[in-house]
Amino acid sequence: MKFNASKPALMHAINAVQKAVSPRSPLPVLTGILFEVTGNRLYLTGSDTELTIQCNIEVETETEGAIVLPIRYISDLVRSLPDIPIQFNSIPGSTSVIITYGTSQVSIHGYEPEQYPRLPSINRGTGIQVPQDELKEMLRQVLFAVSNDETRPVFTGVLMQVDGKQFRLVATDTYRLAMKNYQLEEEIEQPVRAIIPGKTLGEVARLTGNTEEKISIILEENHAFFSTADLKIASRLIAGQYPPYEQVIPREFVTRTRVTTREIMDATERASLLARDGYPVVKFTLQENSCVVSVQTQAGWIREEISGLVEGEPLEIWFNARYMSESLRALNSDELCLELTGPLSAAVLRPAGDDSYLSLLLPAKPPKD
Amino acid sequence: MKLADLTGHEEIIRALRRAVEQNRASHAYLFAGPEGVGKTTTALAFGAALLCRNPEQGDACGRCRDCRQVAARNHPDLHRLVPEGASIKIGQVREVLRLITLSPFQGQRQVFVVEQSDLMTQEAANCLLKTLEEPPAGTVLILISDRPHALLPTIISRCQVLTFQPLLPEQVSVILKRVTDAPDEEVELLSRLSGGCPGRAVRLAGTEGGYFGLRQRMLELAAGLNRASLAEALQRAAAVAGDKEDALTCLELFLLWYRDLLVCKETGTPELLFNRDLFPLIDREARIYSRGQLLRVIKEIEKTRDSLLANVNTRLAMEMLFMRLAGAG
Repeated sequence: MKFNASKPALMHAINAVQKAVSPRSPLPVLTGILFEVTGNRLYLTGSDTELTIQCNIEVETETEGAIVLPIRYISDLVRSLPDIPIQFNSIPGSTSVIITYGTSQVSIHGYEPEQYPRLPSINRGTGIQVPQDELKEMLRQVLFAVSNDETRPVFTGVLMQVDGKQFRLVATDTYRLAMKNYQLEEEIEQPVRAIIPGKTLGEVARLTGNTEEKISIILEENHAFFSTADLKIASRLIAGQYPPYEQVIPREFVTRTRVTTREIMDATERASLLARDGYPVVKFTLQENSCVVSVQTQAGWIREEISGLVEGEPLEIWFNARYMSESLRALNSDELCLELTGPLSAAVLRPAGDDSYLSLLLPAKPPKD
Repeated sequence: MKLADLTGHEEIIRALRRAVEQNRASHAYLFAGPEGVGKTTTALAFGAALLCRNPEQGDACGRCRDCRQVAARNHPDLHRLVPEGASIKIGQVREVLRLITLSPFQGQRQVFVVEQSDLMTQEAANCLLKTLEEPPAGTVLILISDRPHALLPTIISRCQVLTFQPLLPEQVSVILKRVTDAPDEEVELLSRLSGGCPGRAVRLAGTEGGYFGLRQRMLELAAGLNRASLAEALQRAAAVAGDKEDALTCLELFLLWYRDLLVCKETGTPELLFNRDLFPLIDREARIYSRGQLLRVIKEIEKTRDSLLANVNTRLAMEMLFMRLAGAG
């Protein structure tokens, strides 16, 4: 392997992949970055087996080849190199590389590329195409609802479902649920579904750009692949059945209201300041043409009245303030519809006039005095 | 290492190969047997056979990418769990459970090898129970233990138990010759006194100066101990009490030594001795002790070994032993 590259390009690629590399991995080879040169492109791969990130940059190739270089050295080394052309030259018959910059040289010992875990090849063709900014926003809208409880692994993931032209993401931690639909341009013949770890989707959201350029998503038996022109992210899937979430989404409501998102969000956050430590619940009173947000504790009381359209029966309901704030923030809409089924059963939040998103929130028990 | 290349344990290896060949590997195994008998080695070879993409008659091919990754401990679907400090903690087990819920990375299977599984804390063991009973398809858990009686019965009942028996001295010497460069007479001696556990023999051969060097140091500690003063006994104890493993090795050699003295005293012939090459010395030493004294010494050493295994302070235990031995004469 022999190639010439610029420092900014190398830095860009190393920064992209190093998030997936753990310098303390039990597998020695995974403490490194895989360098592979094919044609005039250099592919850098980092992996902790759960998340694999591959980034490719253009280089001036002399000979093709591959090597795994330990992240501990390569990342800091490249960062501290001067901004002049850098040449990588692997020594045939060994697992070392010589890096030449100007008249100086440095050599690093690495691992055989053959030892590096190989991702299974993609068999299902092109998969689906979604603009990057859309995917980023969709992920933001559901990821907050992912559970951190490792004892129930399926809830630490996001259900990704493709059926016909509909692309859907669902996340729930059993106290709340977020669901986002996206209409695809092309129809998919075979419906597919998979549970992808929330942690790796967080990385996908971080690495995708704010552009309309498309990202392709392919769901394979054991992996999900997200790829753009210069980036490929692979995530392992969580084995198991996602629970039948559709059953828990209520269809009939006793009370509906339509209010300004900003107002109710600010009111909730202010009210939560007075809420009891360890049980941060806020009371919502829905009455004719207004929604009252209030808290009364030993610390004092607060009451905010937000005008809005209320249909149906008047109702008093308590919500966990943090859960409510997170749900409101994920709505991405100026106005919201809050639909209630009773003081102790699920509430549904939707952006006004947008059917593609909903989030469901279970109320809290009224605090005992 | 391939299953076919292993020495001994023929029955177990045949059963494992059949399981791979017929694709009927159990989801959970317990490899029980004395320390150093080859349980982990077999488990890793079995893991290689399970993960190999071109298995040959139920065994790893040894050439494919998966096999080479296993050999270099780089296979992403082969996980090893070892005690962190004195026990396997619940956090470690939770991490394993998380990995189990993910689909395999490279192939169709994930293999987990839990070494010294009897050191799981009770919480850790209970946490593993549900998954051990019914892990996701393609998961194989191999629990390893030289003290299976210390495992929860609920763990054992969920595993297919394979009990490893000590090897014959000839088999141990084959392994010793393969993995160490110990001289022939040392190989012969070690294979006899390893108790059929090649791992133990390899460890003894690997100490500084080889087994003979180690024995020499231990004999110097034992020699004339029964006539030593209290201060001298404590000084000698300090030499081996720094590290628990060293202390255990020392006790092991002491046991063999005093056993030889006793056998020599009773029979007067070298045939039944482990340290046959030192017969004149043994014969001389044996005359110093009475039969009762030797029996008492051996009992003391065994008691100290049990205390050490039960986590008694190493230094105090060794000092106690040496003081008793010094008083034995």
